[in-house]
Amino acid sequence: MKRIMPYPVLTGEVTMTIREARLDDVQLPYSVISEQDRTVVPRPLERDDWEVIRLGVQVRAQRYELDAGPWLSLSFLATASERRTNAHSAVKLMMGQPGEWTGEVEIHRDDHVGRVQVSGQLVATVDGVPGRVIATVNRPWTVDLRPGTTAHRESIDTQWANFAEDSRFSWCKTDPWTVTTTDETATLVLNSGFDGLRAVLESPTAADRATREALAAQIAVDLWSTLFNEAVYHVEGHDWPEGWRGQVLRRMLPDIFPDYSPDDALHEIVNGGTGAIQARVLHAAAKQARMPRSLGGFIRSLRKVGPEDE
Amino acid sequence: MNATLGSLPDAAAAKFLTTGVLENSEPLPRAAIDKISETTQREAEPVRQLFDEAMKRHTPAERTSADAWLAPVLHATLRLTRREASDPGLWNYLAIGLAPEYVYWRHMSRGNPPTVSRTRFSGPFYSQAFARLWWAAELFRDGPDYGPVAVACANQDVMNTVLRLEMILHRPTAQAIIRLLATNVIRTGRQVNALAGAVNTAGGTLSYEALAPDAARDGDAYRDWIEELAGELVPYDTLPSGPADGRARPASVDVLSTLFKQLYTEIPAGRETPD
Repeated sequence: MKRIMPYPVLTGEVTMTIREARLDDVQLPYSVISEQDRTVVPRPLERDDWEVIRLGVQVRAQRYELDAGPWLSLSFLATASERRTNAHSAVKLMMGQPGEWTGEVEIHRDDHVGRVQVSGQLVATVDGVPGRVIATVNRPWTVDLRPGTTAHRESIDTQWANFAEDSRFSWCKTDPWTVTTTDETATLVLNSGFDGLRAVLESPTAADRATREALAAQIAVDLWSTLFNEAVYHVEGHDWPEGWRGQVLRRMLPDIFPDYSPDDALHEIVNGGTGAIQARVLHAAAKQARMPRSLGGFIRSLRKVGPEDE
Repeated sequence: MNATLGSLPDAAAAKFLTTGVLENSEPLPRAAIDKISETTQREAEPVRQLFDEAMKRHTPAERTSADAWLAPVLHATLRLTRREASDPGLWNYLAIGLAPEYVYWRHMSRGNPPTVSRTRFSGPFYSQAFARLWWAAELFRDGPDYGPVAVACANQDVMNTVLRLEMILHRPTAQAIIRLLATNVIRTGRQVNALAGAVNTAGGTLSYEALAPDAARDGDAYRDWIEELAGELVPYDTLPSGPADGRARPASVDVLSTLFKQLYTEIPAGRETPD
């Protein structure tokens, strides 16, 4: 549900892409940019003497909608903001073809410290009123300057622990697995004391493949539905939560409310709660768990987990 | 006490803030605080003097007016980047390790027993006793001119309400609001809050950044100003000079103050005659 405005606004999506990142005018490898997570993690930031990161930004809106609408003097303002440092800057992008803007967003080291949100607004004159916001970027980007983060980070960690011997898990010591979460990461903890679990998950033989995949899928369904409920619990107001919680919601809400936009779906769970939609949550979790890529990656992540006391 | 300022992490700060400490019936363990704080290179004495001076210049009855004096000199004495100022450790240290007397003097409530809110010692930038002053100075200064800061800090509703609104991160918006205050278009706390509400609401559909573009701040000039500190004595009797990192565009401030004045007259509070 877009907010109801007293003037015509764009209904189509406005998407932002970050095409390149330069650190003090040295081009960074494309791998620092994760399109899927809308994240840029400029490495190497261990260096403390950098001054500015410049992002090459492109924004697209649907041209036919712009052509048909009553909007005049369109302009696009890209913003970089971080609440922790009270930093907020706006820069006007250049229009290339109709419905397409490009430009550069600067992030100065002195003004930022952690997660910088890069977003923007499309502004136009409507009914004689200049400066009307007619659209905002659907999925803003985050530039993560915190040390120790990487793009494409698997924000869900996996580790083994013997539940019977670990006081953290005494409440569930006979379970095969459980999930623990902090603001930074969610961790799937597998019970190494559970008979046969490790043998199946780490089996290198093709014969065990079907069992392994079925088991991994089962774990994944549990994991996704737990993460979803945990993430919902942390939604405040109508804002998307940060970090893994936001990622989980963005992945699963479209399967829970297929007819809603992501923002509408978020409003729906904020207003309606999740009590009545557990069957849908399970469906969305199962869908995530079945995705060939995520399942394959998940199994790989289960197998590469090192020894317990890592 | 250490000769340099420390940085006291939030978790450690919380442990010192017992009920007895908040009521000022129990002393803060200075030695333990210094021991647990990370040391920085910043000299403690010039900062300590500011707080003593502020208490000397204002009677307890006029303690709120100390804000307008202290904010610019604190900003000009500390010379931090926003990145550095975002670290709560320094603010915790100032309030708990360096100058708790000032926090008691400025923020003790009249309750029974009198107490200081925990967030004055360790809390968000708009509540913490010293962070709020530094950020008010940083967000309301017009380049090197701290004049608007003194106007902002002289009004507790600006400090309590406007300071925390995201819209003032756009410098012409902040300057336009202060201009309406400086020219007496708005005066009382109620009027400040009504104006802030109207401007914030209209900002949901109007892009002030598009209507009133701002020039980028000059980061190099800000850096230079930080480095000049060594050779400078920050004055107490006149406003110090802030960083010459560029003023908000005057034409943009004009556009917004006209617009805000108009928005204000369209709401009920704005039609009342100023009292």
